[in-house]
Amino acid sequence: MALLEIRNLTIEFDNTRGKLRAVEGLDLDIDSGDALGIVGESGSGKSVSLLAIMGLLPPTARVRADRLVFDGIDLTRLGARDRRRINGGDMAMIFQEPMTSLNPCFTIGFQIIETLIEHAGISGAAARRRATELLATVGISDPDEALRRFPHQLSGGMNQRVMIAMAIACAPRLLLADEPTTALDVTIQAQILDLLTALRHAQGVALILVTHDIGVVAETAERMLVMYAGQGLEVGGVQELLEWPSHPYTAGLLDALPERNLGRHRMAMIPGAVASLTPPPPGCRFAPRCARAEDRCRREPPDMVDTGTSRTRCHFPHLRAGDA
Amino acid sequence: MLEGIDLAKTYPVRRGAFRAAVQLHALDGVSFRVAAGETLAVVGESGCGKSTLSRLISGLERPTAGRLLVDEAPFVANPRTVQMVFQDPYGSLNPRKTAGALIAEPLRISTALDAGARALEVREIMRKVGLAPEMETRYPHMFSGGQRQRIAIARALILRPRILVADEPVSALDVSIQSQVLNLLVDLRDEFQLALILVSHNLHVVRQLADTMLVMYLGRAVEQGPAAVIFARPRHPYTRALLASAPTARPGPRPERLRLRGELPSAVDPPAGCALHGRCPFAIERCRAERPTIRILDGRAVACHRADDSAIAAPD
Repeated sequence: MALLEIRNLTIEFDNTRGKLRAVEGLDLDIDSGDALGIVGESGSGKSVSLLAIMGLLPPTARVRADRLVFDGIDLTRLGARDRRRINGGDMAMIFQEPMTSLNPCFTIGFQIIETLIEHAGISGAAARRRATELLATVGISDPDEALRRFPHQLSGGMNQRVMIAMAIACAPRLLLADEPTTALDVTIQAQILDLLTALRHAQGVALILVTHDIGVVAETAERMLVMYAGQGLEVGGVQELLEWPSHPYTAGLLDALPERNLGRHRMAMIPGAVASLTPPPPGCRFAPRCARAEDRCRREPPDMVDTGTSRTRCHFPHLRAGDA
Repeated sequence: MLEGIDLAKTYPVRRGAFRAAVQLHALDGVSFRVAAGETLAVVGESGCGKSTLSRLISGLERPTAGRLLVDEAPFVANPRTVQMVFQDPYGSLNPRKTAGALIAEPLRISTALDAGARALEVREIMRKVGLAPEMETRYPHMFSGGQRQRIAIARALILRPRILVADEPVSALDVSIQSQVLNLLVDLRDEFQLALILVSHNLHVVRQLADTMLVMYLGRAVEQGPAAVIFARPRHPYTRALLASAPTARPGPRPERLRLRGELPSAVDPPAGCALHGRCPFAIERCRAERPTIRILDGRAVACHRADDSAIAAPD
């Protein structure tokens, strides 16, 4: 059984002009120790989906799902008290902006120790020892010194290490990371991604990594989910998707990357702009920008189909040469 | 055409109310040259001095030392010679002006053209950057990020400058939009024979656009030369680490796994010797003691004591 299983997740918000459906019909599975990368552009619903898994959406959001089950627990029926036991315990999250996720008024040590006392139920002295160990685990060279520091006295990369230390403090089984390295320089990004991969292998924690950067997913995850305008469009193995993308959007996104256009004067590109959700295009949401679109695509929303290399929401997916 | 010689910029920094100000060397002895129709990419991480350099070129600041030349004559920045495109198209356009008014503004300020002539010029440049003329009455919030960056580019080019400084022009845009804007920049560079200064942390973008590149670390040039030469075989450990750290979405084997240790040191109190020595996996005693000078090696300039040491050469 999957560690996290999501079937037909829909998230709606009310706004002044009516309902905004931020996510529609999302399916997702992740097993213990796996790494799944969720790739999408602004408005694709990738961050909102993570917040729904963590139960962090505001009460104005309507979250519905046929199944939203973590480790045998139905997350849609979870009360506030049980939710607090899971968040920070078996399930933890790392955010994009480490500077704004840490409390500026308290030392790093205070914030980590608070987590440990709350969730692991250990005493102050033991929690302090454990906090030192955790900071050493995430590669901070002088952990005792770091415990006494305030967030503003540390760099962005150091603060993100602290956030990761807090997230793994109670040995979570699932780690959710929303653009964890977007605010960091590339050499520091590489260090943090190496750290996440090392933790995953050492502690067997499952990782869901949300990012706009396909390169980050290629370096850290085994499976990839591509989202667009609130829907999952394609899911499969990272190497397979990089080589044989089935959905025209995945293919277009990859073709538009500069590293896949070496030696060309002009780069391949996807025409148009990201689809609006108010209202979304009828039929396939990518159809207005898709070179392969036919009348059927503009009329009839496609379902997920198996293409042999991935599962794809497309009427006319690219099929791997030789398999067709 | 545009040339910078030994440019330096220092800022006084106070580290406490009663302590004397110390000098922060934001830029230290950087030289470069870029021809019309060519792209110079300035590459490096936060604090490397790339934004300071672009501010000097665009005349927003004056260098503390060194000279800027255009066609070998001393250069005073003015809107008809040099223009900028900024990273954030949400913050760089006045929300209370229409697209047409924003694009016409440089003409209104710097030329004597009447309203009718300005309108013609605005239409012409809007067409060139891929905006429909009827969009000129809309306000910035009615445009997507990519379209806003097109407005910013139109506004920068309407005076037909010879130099365009583009500071992270696509990093705030959605991935599927980035290549549209990069293609536009290439087309306009070729059409107007612009000297394009591209400031970017994204090495894949640089590789795509640049003719020459300048890699900077803590205010100093560490490696510079033809982009193709440097990408084919980077010689400076910092350039190698940047290339190895850039996440890549190509199937197949990864480039070498070279990582820098630790974090950026303070620019107020930079390390002695080579500024990178504390983070460099190849640092030796000499790197700690002696600051490397720039030398020519293998078709590029590089400032590293061990750049030609075969013991640390990258695997092919």
